[in-house]
Amino acid sequence: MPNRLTVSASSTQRTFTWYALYALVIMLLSRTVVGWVGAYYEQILIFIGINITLAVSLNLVLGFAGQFSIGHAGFMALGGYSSAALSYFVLNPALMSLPLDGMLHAVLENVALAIVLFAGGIAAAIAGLLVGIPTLRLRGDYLAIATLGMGEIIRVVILNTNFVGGARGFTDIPRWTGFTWVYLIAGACVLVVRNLIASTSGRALTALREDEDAAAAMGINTTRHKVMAFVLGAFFAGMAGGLLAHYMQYLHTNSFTFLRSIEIVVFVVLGGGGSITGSIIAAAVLTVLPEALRVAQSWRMVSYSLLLVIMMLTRPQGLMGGREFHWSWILPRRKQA
Amino acid sequence: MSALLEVKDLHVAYGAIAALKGISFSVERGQIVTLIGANGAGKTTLLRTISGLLRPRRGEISYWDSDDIGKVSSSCSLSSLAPHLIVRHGVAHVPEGRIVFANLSVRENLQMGAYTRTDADGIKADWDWVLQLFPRLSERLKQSAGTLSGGEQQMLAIGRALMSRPRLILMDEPSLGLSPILVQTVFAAIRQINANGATILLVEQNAHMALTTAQIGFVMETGTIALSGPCHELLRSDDVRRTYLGES
Repeated sequence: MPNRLTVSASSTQRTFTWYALYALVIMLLSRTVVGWVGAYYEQILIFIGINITLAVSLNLVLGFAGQFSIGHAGFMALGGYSSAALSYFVLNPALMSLPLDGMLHAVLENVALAIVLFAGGIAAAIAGLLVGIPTLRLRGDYLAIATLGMGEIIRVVILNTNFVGGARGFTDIPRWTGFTWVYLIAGACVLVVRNLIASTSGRALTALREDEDAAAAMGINTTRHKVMAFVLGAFFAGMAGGLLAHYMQYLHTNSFTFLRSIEIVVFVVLGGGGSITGSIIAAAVLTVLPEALRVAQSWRMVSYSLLLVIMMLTRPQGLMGGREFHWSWILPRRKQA
Repeated sequence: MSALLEVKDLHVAYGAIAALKGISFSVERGQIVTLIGANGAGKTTLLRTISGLLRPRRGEISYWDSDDIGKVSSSCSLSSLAPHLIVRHGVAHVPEGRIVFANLSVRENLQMGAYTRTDADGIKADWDWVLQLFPRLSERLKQSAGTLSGGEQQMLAIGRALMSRPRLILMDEPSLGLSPILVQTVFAAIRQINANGATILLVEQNAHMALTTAQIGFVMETGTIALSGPCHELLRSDDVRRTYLGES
């Protein structure tokens, strides 16, 4: 039976229920476990969350739509700097000037954070749109070079923009974010990408990854779909940049070189292109690994790289090889009627 | 009979290399028309230009769209439309080398064929028809398309094109790399599709199969049409027999 692929109302409702449940768990964790483990481990957890957002959003472009983009760090930088500029120059001074008690101040701070994160995402998305429309007509390695150049252009422009610190870096950004926000955004990113992939548009994306001409011959507007995936990926990369800015309180363009983009590509490839679960696991493992390898001291990065090589040799299709986690893996399968 | 597709003085080039040098021909509604010719004659280029994947340098492709009862409603120029819009006018392309979406299942491939449509009942009807035409596919719905045999992939590529309920089907070398018995199966399906109302423009290297299936034939040579006529006449032509049918 040719069932159309549409997300029904009940499944939208289910998505929201799941997300609410997830948010509850995250808040509970942030009040308990995260407090107990201490600042060092909390920071690692936060970096994992930010990297999950980056990996899953790039997976949409690279793994699902098959567009080899290596400028993700550029979008991250743009989102980070624009959200930081908004909070540093506008919202934080405004918040400070109000004579508020602790409770109300905390609430407004969270509202302000939501605004700046969204603004950062939008800034990155607009850049994605402007860059995507001309470059996404390119294919394969040409697109890779174009996006690489774009990421570097964003970085160099920021480096030479004095009011966001230029070469000194952007300092004194308010610390508005922590574990909870990072994982709320990561969860939202996973949900949005997952639901998009399960929709008709998502099927169109996978079709154009398989063969662009054949996809166009099916009536798929390939350019529009590629731009859509690119813009959405840029949006979440921008949000991730905003999270980083408001956690580290400091931004420098050195953290957004193309090596950062490559690192995100590695998350996606190692996790398995086209698998959200894979991206999550790879982002987590590869964030923890350099820390865990501190015992190797000066051999740390050598052993890290060696592990990457071994993983790619033994599992070239990525950890998950395009498959997703399913509850039936751990729960006993329900009897089929 | 009325023309469904008319190509006038079509020029297509890859950079400086001219692939089509002034092609003109027309396809009548309800026919099977075949284009035969050697490698590099420009057959695939011609189909790719009609479906919008390539842009012509010069020339005109006119197409007379019609509603379901065959009444001509409008004429449009395909040469200025993007490929995804051309599909919506009822032109489907079965690409050369049976390109299916290898990592999607057979079911998903067929669903992609109906991507532009929203009429659930019509889609269901065509779904049933495609599976009746190619019963092999109904046994393999859950299998990913890349694991099908060559013949099954060709059936899937044709079935997928049918799911858009096309009025004109462009078929590029459907017999390529298939065993003789599968070639018979595929050509039987082509005749059935045509009997069901679709007009077919068939590009083939297997000149004998093509000329015995189609009504009108065009022989292409290095970017031009060298010979044309009803297929039964082409089959008797000495030139065609020597060059394409391997007879001395």
